Amino acid sequence: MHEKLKKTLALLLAALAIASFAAGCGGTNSGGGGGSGGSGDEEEILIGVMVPTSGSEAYYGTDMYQSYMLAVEEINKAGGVLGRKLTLLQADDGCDSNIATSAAELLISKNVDFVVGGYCSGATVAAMQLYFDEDLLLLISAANSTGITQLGLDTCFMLNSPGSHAAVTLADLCKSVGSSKVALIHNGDEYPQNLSKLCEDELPKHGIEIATVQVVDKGASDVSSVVTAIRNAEADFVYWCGYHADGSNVIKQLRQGGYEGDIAVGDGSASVELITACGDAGEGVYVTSPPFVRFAEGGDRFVADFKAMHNLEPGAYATLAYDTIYVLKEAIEKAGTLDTGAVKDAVQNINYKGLSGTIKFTPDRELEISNFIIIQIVDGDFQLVTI
Amino acid sequence: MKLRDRISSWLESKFIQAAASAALLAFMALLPLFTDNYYQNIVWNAFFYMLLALGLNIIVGYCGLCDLGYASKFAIGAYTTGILIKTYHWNFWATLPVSIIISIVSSVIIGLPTLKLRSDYLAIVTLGFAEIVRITARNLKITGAATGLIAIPRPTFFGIRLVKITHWYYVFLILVVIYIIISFRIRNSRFGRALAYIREDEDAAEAMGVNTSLYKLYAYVLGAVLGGVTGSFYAVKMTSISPGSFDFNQSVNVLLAVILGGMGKVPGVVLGAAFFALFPEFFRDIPVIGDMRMLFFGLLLIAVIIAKPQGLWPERNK
Amino acid sequence: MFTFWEIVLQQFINGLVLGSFYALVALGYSMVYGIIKLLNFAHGDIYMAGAFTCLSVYSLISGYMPGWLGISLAMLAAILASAILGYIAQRVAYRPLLSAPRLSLLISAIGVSLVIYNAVMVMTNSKAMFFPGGINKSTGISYGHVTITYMQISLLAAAFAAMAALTVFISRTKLGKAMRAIAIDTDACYLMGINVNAVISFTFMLGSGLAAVAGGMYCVYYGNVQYSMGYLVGIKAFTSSVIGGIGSIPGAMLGGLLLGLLEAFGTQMLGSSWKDVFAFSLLILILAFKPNGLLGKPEVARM
Repeated sequence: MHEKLKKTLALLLAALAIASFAAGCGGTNSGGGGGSGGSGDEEEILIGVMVPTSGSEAYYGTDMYQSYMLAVEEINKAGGVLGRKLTLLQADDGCDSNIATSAAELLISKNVDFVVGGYCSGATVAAMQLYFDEDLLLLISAANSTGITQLGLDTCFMLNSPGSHAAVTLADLCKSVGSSKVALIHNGDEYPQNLSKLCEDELPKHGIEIATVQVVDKGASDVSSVVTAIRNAEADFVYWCGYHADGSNVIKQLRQGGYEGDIAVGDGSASVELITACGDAGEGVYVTSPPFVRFAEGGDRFVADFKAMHNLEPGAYATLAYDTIYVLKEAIEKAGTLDTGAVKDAVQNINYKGLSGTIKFTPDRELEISNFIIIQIVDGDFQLVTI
Repeated sequence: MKLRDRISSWLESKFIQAAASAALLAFMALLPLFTDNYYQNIVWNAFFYMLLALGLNIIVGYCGLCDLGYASKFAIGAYTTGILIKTYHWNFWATLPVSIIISIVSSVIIGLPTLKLRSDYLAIVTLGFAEIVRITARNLKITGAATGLIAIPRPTFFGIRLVKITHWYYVFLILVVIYIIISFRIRNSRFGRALAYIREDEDAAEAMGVNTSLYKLYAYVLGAVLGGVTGSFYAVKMTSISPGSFDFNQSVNVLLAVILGGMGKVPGVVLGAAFFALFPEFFRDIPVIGDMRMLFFGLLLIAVIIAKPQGLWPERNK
Repeated sequence: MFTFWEIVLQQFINGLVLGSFYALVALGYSMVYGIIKLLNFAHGDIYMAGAFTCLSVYSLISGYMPGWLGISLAMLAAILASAILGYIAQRVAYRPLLSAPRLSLLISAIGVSLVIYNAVMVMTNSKAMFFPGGINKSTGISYGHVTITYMQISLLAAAFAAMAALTVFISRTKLGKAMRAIAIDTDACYLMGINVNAVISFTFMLGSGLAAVAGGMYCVYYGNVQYSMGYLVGIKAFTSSVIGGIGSIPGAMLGGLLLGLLEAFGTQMLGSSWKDVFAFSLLILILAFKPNGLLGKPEVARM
């Protein structure tokens, strides 16, 4: 027992030692273009980045962060903003409410000037109030649940089209393929359920009936009972509101279970992996997608630069993240100051043409013009669909 | 061996304990003066887990019931407070009694028919109940569905609007002290001794005339009430709550904190909760290791429990 | 479109298929519980590891041989890998704690679960992996509107074959007898000269292997694997084994099938958003009236 006790103590001590070392480092990554570190430098504009870089959504958060880095480097090379260089300070929100508040307090305590980021809606909502209380401007690049703008916090802007835009896009798609009875499936998570609810409200306005609304939980194995319920409701169109891994499972089982109507998936599933995941069953599936880099004007140059910097392909939210930094730059330049109130007003009145489309805000701080596009899997690749 | 005994008896002496507790408390009370928001939030998070662990400790540690659904208990408190404030515009402090009553009612309903079950069956019943609570919150409109309740207004306390993390640091610190006092009071009462008896040997307790079902129910309800109150405070601190905050992982986290610390022993439970809340945060952004921190946490968990099967700081058998 | 009876029949088939998954995973839970009274939290993750191995191996070898051989080999690899994993977990994390308080054993199991889950998450960069190709067309037997695909038939057949083989094994072989004996009285088994540790190890390997069968079938049938897939199935299998009476082999099978059917009919009657509430409410009711599960034997708790 004695030996064991010693061992345990040693282990704990080692853990503590590493821990205090980590704490000493401040628990942050600071990066950015200019190369000259030292985030305390008065001359630099410090931008807090709140994205998930650990946990299940780490891939998307990292992708966004890399995109911010690219934009910041370009801007700094061109002379910065108001003659000052931009520096990023990243904090991991882990896609979790509790960790997100820690991340927010971290950025606040480092006296950041602005905050960008926001991938998971739940984590973003949890942190927003804290930024608002500190009078910090938050530009949300990816999270797009309408719950975010319902908070009514006037320092938070959503640069991605909200789910309500996707619902309109879906209605247009249904009309163009002649569907009149739509089945909605979500996974019970924040955004997918929000999207499903918005479609439930929107589609009947266009004369389209909602056949049924179903839930397929994350990691569910056999969903044939849901397929049967959908077939029984005589739906001629199925819209999957969740993410691509479970989405491919749903699509395959719909086809295996004898469903023959059209299928579309929401922006959560807008990934090239959807194609490999679905195999043959994916042929003809529509996606109501966020601006896809490959179909964007000037997208090729962005992809090349991104690859040169990170040696990786940009992901689904890279364009939005990239535009976010440029919107912030333009707003600061218009305001001529870093004062939150002035920059906020400048963002409110901005009209910026970026990779993801035209960025202009409604009084509710949502995008005025939808950035959703429709793409379809044709011969094992995405193709842009125009209606 | 002798030295160790002497040290531990020294550590167990009342005077030393009181002095150490006072010093620790003073340190905790002064900490916000020389730390920034970030560290205060981390410590707040540790306080939060301490509250949950102290509540669950009454069910698991004192009474030996295996509860795998503690998240439902604090979800009930959080949603009660959230709904009353958001939908019916109540004052936060007025929601607390309601939160307590609903915690009592729900835990009696679930506890009455099932507490006679063997411990592992109880585990699945509590897990099932937690899933029912979570899915119901996800489906209903009044609970805000999957988005949850957002923008819950902050309460005021003697004219101070509780907004800053420093405020919440002190509120939760006071709660932790209250919960610790309650825990000690219970342990040293007749009721607490009956619970310990049930935990060690339920059949013998029954034979000695202890009404085990009733005492188990009391413990279960008490644990649920503490969880509910914690949930109420959590709702107004976070200003937003969603079903995702109350999933099975959360229940497991709290259970880990209780057992890891040494079930039943209050300082052990507090230590376990602190360890649990702080560990992942310390590894936050170390490259490579940061991504694998939960992997290391799992390994460390196994190592610690094998080295100290009774928990880090267990109750000494007298 | 469907008539009433067609719906009932179709959902019955759906429930059986889903339930056979649960049953296969539940068997491992139940066997391990029967023998060392441990709720093996890592079991769902072992199922996931099985599916993961199956997919990785199949992607590696599928180009060099006919499909059926590739699938069989991949399945075999999955069973082997999971059995080894189960053995290691048992040897390292559970055996030193056999005489410790029961809840400590539970903590260790949660630790093992965290390790497997996070190891796979890091290895896959928290992304899902997909099966190249796969069978996607709807081919099967139809009766009216009711369809049962060949895939579903083979899935059911495989599950029932595995369960039958296990039943025969437990009731007819010496090792099976030893397993039953340990479940009844471990100390007496030591005295009777049974190598208790070896039998416990074997039980873990057997249970893990069965979970891998389910994982492998999932991977072949649906063609995607992600690190988080074990969680839901793990909880459902846990529930199944308790409904049936934990520790009882036929109970685990019955519980799994019953839970599958409950979910299928819950989806049909109440909608999929309420199906789990329906299933868990019935679980609580069953336990309130049958405190040892459907087929569990009443016994005095041994804490």
